[in-house]
Amino acid sequence: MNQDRRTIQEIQALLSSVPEVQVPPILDEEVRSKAVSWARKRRAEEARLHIPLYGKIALGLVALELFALLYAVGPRLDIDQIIQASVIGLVGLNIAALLTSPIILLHRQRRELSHE
Amino acid sequence: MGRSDETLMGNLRRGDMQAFDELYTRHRQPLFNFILRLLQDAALAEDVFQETYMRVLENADRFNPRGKFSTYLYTIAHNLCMDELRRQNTSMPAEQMAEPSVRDPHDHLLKREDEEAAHQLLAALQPHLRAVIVLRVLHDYSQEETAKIVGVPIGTIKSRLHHALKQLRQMAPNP
Repeated sequence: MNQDRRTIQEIQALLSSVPEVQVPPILDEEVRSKAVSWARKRRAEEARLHIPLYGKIALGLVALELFALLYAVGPRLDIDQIIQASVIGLVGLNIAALLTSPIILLHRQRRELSHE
Repeated sequence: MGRSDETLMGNLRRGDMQAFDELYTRHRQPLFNFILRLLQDAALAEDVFQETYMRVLENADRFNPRGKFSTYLYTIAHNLCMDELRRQNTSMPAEQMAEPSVRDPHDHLLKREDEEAAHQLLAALQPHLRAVIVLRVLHDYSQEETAKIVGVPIGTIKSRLHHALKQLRQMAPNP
């Protein structure tokens, strides 16, 4: 073990006197130019509307509620049925919002945490 | 105080070039020397260096912000170097390595202050042993970090380091 330590120290001493090889400037330029084009592409992707999975589920539920509402109203334009379907639709929308919002919030928090 | 590497990586994911520049400036020099010491070939080192940064960018989403960026960076570089060495098959055959100059084991080693000799010694080591020596001895990484970068258990790092040092002692030029 002592011998190992001594060899480590000797290698360190030997190589610490050697100046580090500098990165060639042309290599710096190449890496940076590739990074710039990557970043440009990335920012364009980020700029696109991004709806998370839970958001899509929520939108799907809203669409379903609207469909149910339309089905209930249908060809019969009975005022009682319209009111009834509207109430059911609104209650359904609220339930959907109640169910999905904590999940969306949790998902968003997790995303933000992972970005920090 | 400057932003941590991990914070910069978070910003980089969103395409922040300033974050990339900062990360690049911090790590370019030691990383290039790490790759060069592993590959022992400047042209190959340049290719692998470039490829390492491209992988960092392309896999920015996969980076775990709880992990250390430098470990992540060196893991990518190490894997690319090993792939390259496997492709090039530049490693010295084991039989050649097993024939070092016979020396008195109690001799004080590596007395010759010749950098070239030290580099030649490194080059003569098998790549998996060289990687451990470069990370542990020259880049001062801990055993845990070296194990993560190389992708083996800590016990294997200890034994590789011991073997590498033993070989270096045996191969050291006579003063």
